[in-house]
Amino acid sequence: MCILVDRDTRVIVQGITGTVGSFQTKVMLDYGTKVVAGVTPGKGGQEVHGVPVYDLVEDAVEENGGDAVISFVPGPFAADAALEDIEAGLGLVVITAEGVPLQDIMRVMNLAAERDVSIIGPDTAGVISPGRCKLGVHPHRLFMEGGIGVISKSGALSYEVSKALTESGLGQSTVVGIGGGPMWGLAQVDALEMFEGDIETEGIVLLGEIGGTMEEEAAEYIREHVSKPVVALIVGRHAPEGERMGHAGAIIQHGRGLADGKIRALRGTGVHVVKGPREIPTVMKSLL
Amino acid sequence: MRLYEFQAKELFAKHGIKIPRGRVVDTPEKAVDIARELGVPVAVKAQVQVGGRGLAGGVKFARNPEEAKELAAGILGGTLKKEDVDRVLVEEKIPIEAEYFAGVTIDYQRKALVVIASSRGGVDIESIALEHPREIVKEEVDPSMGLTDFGARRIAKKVGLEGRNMLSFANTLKSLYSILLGYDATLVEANPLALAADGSFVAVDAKIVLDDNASFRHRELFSKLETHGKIPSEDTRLRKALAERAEIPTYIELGGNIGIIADGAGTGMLTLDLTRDHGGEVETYCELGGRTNPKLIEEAMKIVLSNGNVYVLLINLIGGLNRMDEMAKGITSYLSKEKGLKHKPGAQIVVRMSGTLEEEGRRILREAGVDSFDNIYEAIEKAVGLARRG
Repeated sequence: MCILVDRDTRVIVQGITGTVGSFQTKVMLDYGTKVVAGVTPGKGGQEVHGVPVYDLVEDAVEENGGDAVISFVPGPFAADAALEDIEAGLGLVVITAEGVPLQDIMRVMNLAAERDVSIIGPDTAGVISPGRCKLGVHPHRLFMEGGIGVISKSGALSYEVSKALTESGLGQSTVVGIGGGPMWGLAQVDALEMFEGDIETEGIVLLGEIGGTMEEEAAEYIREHVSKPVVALIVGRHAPEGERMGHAGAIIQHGRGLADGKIRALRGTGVHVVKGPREIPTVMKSLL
Repeated sequence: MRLYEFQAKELFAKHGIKIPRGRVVDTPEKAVDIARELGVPVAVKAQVQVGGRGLAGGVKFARNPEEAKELAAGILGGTLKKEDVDRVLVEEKIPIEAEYFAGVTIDYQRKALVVIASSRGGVDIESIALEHPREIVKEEVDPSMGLTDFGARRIAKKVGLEGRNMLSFANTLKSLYSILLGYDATLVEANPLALAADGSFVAVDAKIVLDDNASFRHRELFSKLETHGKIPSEDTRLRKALAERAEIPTYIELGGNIGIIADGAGTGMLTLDLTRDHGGEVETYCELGGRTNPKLIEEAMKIVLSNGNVYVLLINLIGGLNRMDEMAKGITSYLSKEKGLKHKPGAQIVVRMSGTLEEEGRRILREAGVDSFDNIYEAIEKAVGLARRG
């Protein structure tokens, strides 16, 4: 088992004809992901790496089926594209774009909640279940099939940590990038719940960062509901106050959102918080 | 982007919110003219984007035009919390009966628009929350209805207003709400929203934060706003401005001797943390957002290395979306032009490269005579070691 995606997940790629969309489609196909169709308005009827392209998501789904979508549509149009996915009945929407207007993405989140659709992102690398399905842009050679569930706001940080896990022989069940915020679809708590319920996942790595209160909420949730070992890394310990560190949500304001508070909250619930990626496999092994 | 007070007030006025009469000026002489024209005691207010302006001495009151000139002369050309002040707003001082707070913002957790109001205005909302938590009214806007007239009236009543004042406050809330929607703002706030002697509400201060992600929908407004800013002359600010122009997502200077360029925020913060843990002092935190673009890393190298404080540049790349062949091309392109560029002679470059197409990236670097690490710790140790010797 793994969470969110599996070997049989039928994937639609939105923005498949762009440079990034087409390159990443190739990588996903090579990895074994079942990319069944792509969408780019105005390019319907073409093919990209053998994948048929449609103008509308609903047509792509009708002719090929579809469970999940990864969208490479740029920020200004990404919210509309996501609304189209929800309308077409797709249950899992990965939004890779940065710079999506906040009021737009709020509408997407509201509709998704109403229709019971999972949104991952925006500003995310996506999801990978090593060896089975890659619905994302991960450098997959750093990943390996196994029993560790990884949750990360940052894509690159999840690569770094998965690399360390893989190099020490610990594979991953699923690696979820939830995005840089400041508004998230799937949150750390949701992913924790999924990993706790997943029989294959033996341990969970939580990768958080400064800003907001999501890690504190995760700590609260872990106290009540998570029995599996959790190892956490919070980045931004040395970030200056008042500077946005690159993710829209990663900012310390008026002394709030500091790494210290998050680390304390997590430690308070028995989570092992480490300083860097190389300690993660060692600590995890001692807990399994 | 946070608007200056005078800009926010222009939008307030356009949407039917009363503001004090006044004008923004850039010389003490013009301040006198405005004060004379107004013919009443005035407020002279520094136009800056940092918060806490009042406490920092950025708002002064003058009884007559001469005093206004003196105060303007004292504020203009100076700095307020490190921000240059080149304009002041001179406006009539409103006789205030009571100070309220009225604002609309996005609650990221609830994924909803919220209206916030209080009868304890005049201080920031955090202080009200601390001192009078019961006197803050916070209501979520139902997305299917938007902020209705009756919803606004209900909030006004909860704030403790009755009759004409209640209706007038509700109207102000509606205006703030339509500004938030119409301009893609993330925050619109009137604080204090003063109940004037004549029973009307006047926005004595105005705050609007626009969503930069939505700038494409408001090009005219944004372009107008940007022309107000002047190019800073000081080195740090010049580099910041250059970074902004090159569309580098994040560029921050911290005061050490190691420059960091990373291809994502999470990995950037990790690099910063681990470098500090290893005893390194970081001067630059520069983050490229994780998208492939050889020009971007070349520009970033140029800007970071133009800073004389940077002895060692640590480039940490672990690409997913970001392709290492493209990054390597950017790095080697910079190095091939390096001789013509003025940066600190002898600044050392340490590259860590892993991820999508890393073999190809490493090959390109190797051919240009650049070694690269695969392990982040080894790269950091190397960089910190070099910086110590530097």
